[in-house]
Amino acid sequence: MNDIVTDVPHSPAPPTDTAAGPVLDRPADEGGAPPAVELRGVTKRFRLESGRTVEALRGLDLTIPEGQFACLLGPSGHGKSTLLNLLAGFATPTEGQVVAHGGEVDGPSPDRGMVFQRDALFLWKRVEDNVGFGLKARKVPAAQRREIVDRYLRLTGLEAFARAWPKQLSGGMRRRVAIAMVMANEPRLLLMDEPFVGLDYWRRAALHEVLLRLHETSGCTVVFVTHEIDEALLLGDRLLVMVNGRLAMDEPIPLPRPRTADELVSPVAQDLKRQVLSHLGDVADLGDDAGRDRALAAGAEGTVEVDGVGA
Amino acid sequence: MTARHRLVSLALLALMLVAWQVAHELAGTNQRGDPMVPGLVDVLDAFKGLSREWQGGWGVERTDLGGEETWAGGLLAFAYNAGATGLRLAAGYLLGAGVGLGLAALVSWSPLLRRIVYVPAHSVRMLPLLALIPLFGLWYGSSNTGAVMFVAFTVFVYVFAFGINAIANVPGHFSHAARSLGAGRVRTYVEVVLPAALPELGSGLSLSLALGWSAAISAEFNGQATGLGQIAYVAEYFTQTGLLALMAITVIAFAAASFLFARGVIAWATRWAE
Repeated sequence: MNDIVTDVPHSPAPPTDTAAGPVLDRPADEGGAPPAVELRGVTKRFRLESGRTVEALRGLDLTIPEGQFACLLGPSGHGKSTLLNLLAGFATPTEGQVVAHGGEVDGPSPDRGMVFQRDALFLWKRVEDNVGFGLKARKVPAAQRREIVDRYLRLTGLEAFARAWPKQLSGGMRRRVAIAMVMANEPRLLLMDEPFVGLDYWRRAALHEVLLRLHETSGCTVVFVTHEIDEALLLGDRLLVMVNGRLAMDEPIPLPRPRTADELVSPVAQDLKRQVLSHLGDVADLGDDAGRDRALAAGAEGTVEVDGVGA
Repeated sequence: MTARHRLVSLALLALMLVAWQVAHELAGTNQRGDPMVPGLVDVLDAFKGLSREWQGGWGVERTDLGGEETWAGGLLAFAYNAGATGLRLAAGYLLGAGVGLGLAALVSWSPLLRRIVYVPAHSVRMLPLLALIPLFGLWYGSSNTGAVMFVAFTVFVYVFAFGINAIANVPGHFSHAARSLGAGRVRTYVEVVLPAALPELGSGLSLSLALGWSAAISAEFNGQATGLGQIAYVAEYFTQTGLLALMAITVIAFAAASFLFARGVIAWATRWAE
């Protein structure tokens, strides 16, 4: 299928399509913190070249309080990356409203940093220049920039590789650079789209530690997309499962920290896993046309141009 | 390359030289008595015969004023004409590549504009460039400017098309990453999109250098008083097959050397690329 996918323009009316499946009317306990992110009746449609329209998100309502680590699970092509792209400001909703820190999201912002699934390091810049890119863009004075870069290189264990080119680093080290690059900018909202995919267990474990340390010290809000239930249970305060563009499950993760293998096999974790698997088991066969369309729409978003810059 | 591979390469080269010499012996001569296929000795003689192209100076007299054909005269004439071709090529290449890259960068700033010029830019690549030489002769006469402009045009056509292609192929996530880190459009374009396009652009710059050589030789062949192409023209006019072979070998050697140099520069400039 070679359909080209385009955005369907924004429309103010947010009708909710209840035929698509159950809608959660109650978000998980938010602990009284002010909201970092609010999605109000957000629908995102893509139009295929064939003229058909697919809905990546369907009337989504979601609030994530400041400082929360929310993990988003779900099958491919069911709206997870679309949601992150809307939060990052790379795309606009067809219907509804996306609000971050009290303001409507109308484009990318250093307040909302994104760690991509694909390696987005600037290969032509050395590690320290990658980490300092956002600071330089925001015109942080050189001395202060140096200090912040050094701090994040230290926190991510990369101080010995400050002058290395990204190509000289291992996969795990590159992910650490990607995290340092975003975290050095001190975003209030950190968006992570399957950032550790393809890494082995040990590298993942090391990166989990780095990420949790940074989250704890910065207090930023994290929306973390993953396919691994255990990864979500290990990292998150809250578990969101997205199926067919809707939230099928929204539960807190009441496991004590720091979390180890023992917590992951505890009755609470087992129950959460069972719930997640039951929701994923409901997913319609992805081999049908609708599944392919959704996957196509999700994949096409990676090539959407932003304000005429780039490819 | 292992020692064995080097040995095989050298053996192949020796075999080619032997085959060439055999072809020379078998092909015979034309009505003027010149060999149809010049032998290796003919090529060496042709080098000495280049003395006829020397305009005098550096202790070597012009042959048309009574001077002898000498190796020194041949060497001076060779260096002078190779230098003239090299300068035309360098000036034309820098101009064409500079304008091509600059214009590709400007056009690609707007994706809409890039899409509009994409087809015309690639269509121009299909132009039979050699057929345009008379046109440049008409515009600039047989001046250096005409030769330089022709080389520049040839290089420009390829570099421009390669440039917009390379920029279009930069993955969108680089721009997204830069914008979400707080970079504005200009910084994103200059510091992210353009450098990301460099590796792909490198092959275009190398290829256009080879084309630049062809353009420079062709321009000189069709109306210059100096240069390797002009010597090739004289050789062709007087059926001096030895001299023609010498010019062919010279151009191949220079083009290969300049290609290796350009590849080295590009490899250094993109040493970060995977």
